Amino acid sequence: MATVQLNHVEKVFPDGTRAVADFSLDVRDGEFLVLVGPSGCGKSTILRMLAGLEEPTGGEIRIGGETVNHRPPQKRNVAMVFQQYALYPHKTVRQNLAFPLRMMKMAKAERNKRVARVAETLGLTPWLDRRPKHLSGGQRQRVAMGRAMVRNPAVFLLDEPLSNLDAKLRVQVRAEIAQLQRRLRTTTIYVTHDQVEAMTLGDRVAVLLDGRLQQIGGGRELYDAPANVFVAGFLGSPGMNIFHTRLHGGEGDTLELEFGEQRLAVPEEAAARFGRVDALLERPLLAGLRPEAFSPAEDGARENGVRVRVAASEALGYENLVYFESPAPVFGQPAAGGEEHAAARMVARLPAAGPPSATGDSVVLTVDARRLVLFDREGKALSAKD
Amino acid sequence: MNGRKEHRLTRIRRRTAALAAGAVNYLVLTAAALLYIAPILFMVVASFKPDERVLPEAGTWQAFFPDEVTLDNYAAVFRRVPFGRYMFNSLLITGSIVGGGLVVNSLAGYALARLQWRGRGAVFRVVLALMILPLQAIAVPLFYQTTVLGWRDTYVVQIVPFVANAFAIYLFYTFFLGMPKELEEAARIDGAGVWRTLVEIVLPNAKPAFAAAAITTFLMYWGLYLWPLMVTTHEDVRPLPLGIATFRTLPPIQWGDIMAFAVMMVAPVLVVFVIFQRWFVRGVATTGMKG
Ligand SMILES: Nc1ncnc2c1ncn2[C@@H]1O[C@H](COP(=O)(O)OP(=O)(O)OP(=O)(O)O)[C@@H](O)[C@H]1O
Ligand SMILES: [Mg+2]
Repeated sequence: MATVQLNHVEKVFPDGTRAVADFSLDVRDGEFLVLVGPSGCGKSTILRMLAGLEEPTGGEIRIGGETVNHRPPQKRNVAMVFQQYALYPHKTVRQNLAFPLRMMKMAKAERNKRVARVAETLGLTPWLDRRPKHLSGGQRQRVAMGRAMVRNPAVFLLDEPLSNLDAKLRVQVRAEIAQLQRRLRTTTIYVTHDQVEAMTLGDRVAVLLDGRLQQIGGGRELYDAPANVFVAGFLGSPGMNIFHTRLHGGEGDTLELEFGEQRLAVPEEAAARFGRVDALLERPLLAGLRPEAFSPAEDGARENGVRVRVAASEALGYENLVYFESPAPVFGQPAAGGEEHAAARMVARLPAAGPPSATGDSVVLTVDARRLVLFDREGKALSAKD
Repeated sequence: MNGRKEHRLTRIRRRTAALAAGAVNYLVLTAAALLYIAPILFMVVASFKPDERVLPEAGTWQAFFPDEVTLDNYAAVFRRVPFGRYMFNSLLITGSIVGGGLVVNSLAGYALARLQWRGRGAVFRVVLALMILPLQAIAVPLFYQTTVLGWRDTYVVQIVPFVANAFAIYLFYTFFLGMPKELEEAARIDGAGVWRTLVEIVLPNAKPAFAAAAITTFLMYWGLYLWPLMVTTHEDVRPLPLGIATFRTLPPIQWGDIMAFAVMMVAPVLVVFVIFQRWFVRGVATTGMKG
């Protein structure tokens, strides 16, 4: 058990690649922290620095309160599960599991006991005498987990441990890992680029982009109050719809948000979460709406509805994803009205029960303006505290 | 109707063509194989024939199908020269070069491929340069050096200069470079130091490289002639290639005896090949990975 701290850690590779920049993070003892971000953002590099496989070029890494910047991997008491598992091909499952214990010079009797126990926990007992190449992907994954668990390390480091499993198995093993960690209470840092894993597994989630920490917090918090447009777009599948807009004063305590030519009514208290209302008015802003902020308009009830044209729809069985031509200029996408295929789109998540919409249909969607998120023009979330 | 028949005909024609192509293929391959095997077969057969029949029958079918078989030639080799001594010397010298080389060159290759140290780039370039430098180019200065050391007429002078081998180092180097790094990294994290990682994880997965290095260095030095000729004068320390050179000109010149000598000289090469070839199986190092 241990805390893990990174203070202003930086990693510049010899070829000049800055993989990690000014990265600070405090992982609590026993916490399950998920590190998530797009490919190449530096997640593996951070794990490798924690494991001692790379030395940071700046800042400080502490494990259990001790600075470990220059400590070799074998002296750190951390365990790592690699994306490709890295099982020792010439050793049986039993020998793979026993290897870390042998390196600790643990007595044979105790060693056997521990291996048997871990194998039991992970359901590996029938395969103890097999070589890794005769195991299925799921079994290999378990052996890799077992090899990490067997010596009760202070910290688990997992680098995309599920990415080689098929979708069904991934869901199953994901649940098992969560359960295992809750039982063992070993500080865990889990790297993934799958935001579903991030949301479901972590006590906290740290979102990374280009080697920099974008936001850290509980999954729900990141989802509902993203710190910037990148986090907003990255979490959620599909991500948040973000568009250029302005806020205008309206009648009573209702404001009006530009949605292209149309207007959305926004209750004043919904806008007030992002700063003093009079400071928000009449200036260029970015606004975000989750796909689930849209719902099919009841017939006749046109309250806060927008009329849009369907561009494509996907029926997933439990819901319909409806892509529609965005009436408003979408952030980071070509403006609507350009070439057909380049038309900017937004997406709404609608109940499967509704009538399926066909491409070209004109539909009316109701918007739940309380779920609105506002960003400044640079994409940083506005906050009432500023 | 007609079209279908035509279709069948083309199919048959095509199959016949494929068969013919296959047959030609095998014919060519068989001819090539015979071409390679013929001299070896001739040598083996001749070694079992009475001396006086070897040359006269060289152009007849009896060169390959003898009607009389004898072991006299083999007995004669042992009687006329210290063949056992030559064999022992060759085995000792080449064995030491191969054995010592596997240790030294694998470590050097590993250090170049995986460890970070000052001067690695320079050493690597030297290794590359040495690979294209033939023995003849350095034979004279090497001869001078070893003479100064007083190493003439010893085993040492025939072994030490060849243990470190640029070609073998490079072979190990490329093999280790291609090995998945995660295995070693996993071992380090699991608590193994550099040596333990090497011994427990890297070497057991490097069997194909060891086999390749063993076979190539063995072949390189089993037939070495120039160097032992330069540094030895006594039969006591001389290897087989010098032995057969002497024997070939030792009157009376008896071709059956010479062939028997040659057969016994080639036999260990076959043995080495058989021992190591099963390690040649590829992909051993990657099987613990994804799939
Ligand atoms: N040894 C290295 N030398 C130079 N650049 C490197 C090295 N290792 C990684 N990088 C670079 O550092 C950046 C971060 O790489 P890293 O492997 O940490 O990304 P990642 O977030 O784990 O991506 P993925 O999700 O694809 O695994 C990338 O741009 C990568 O090309
Ligand atoms: Mg990675």
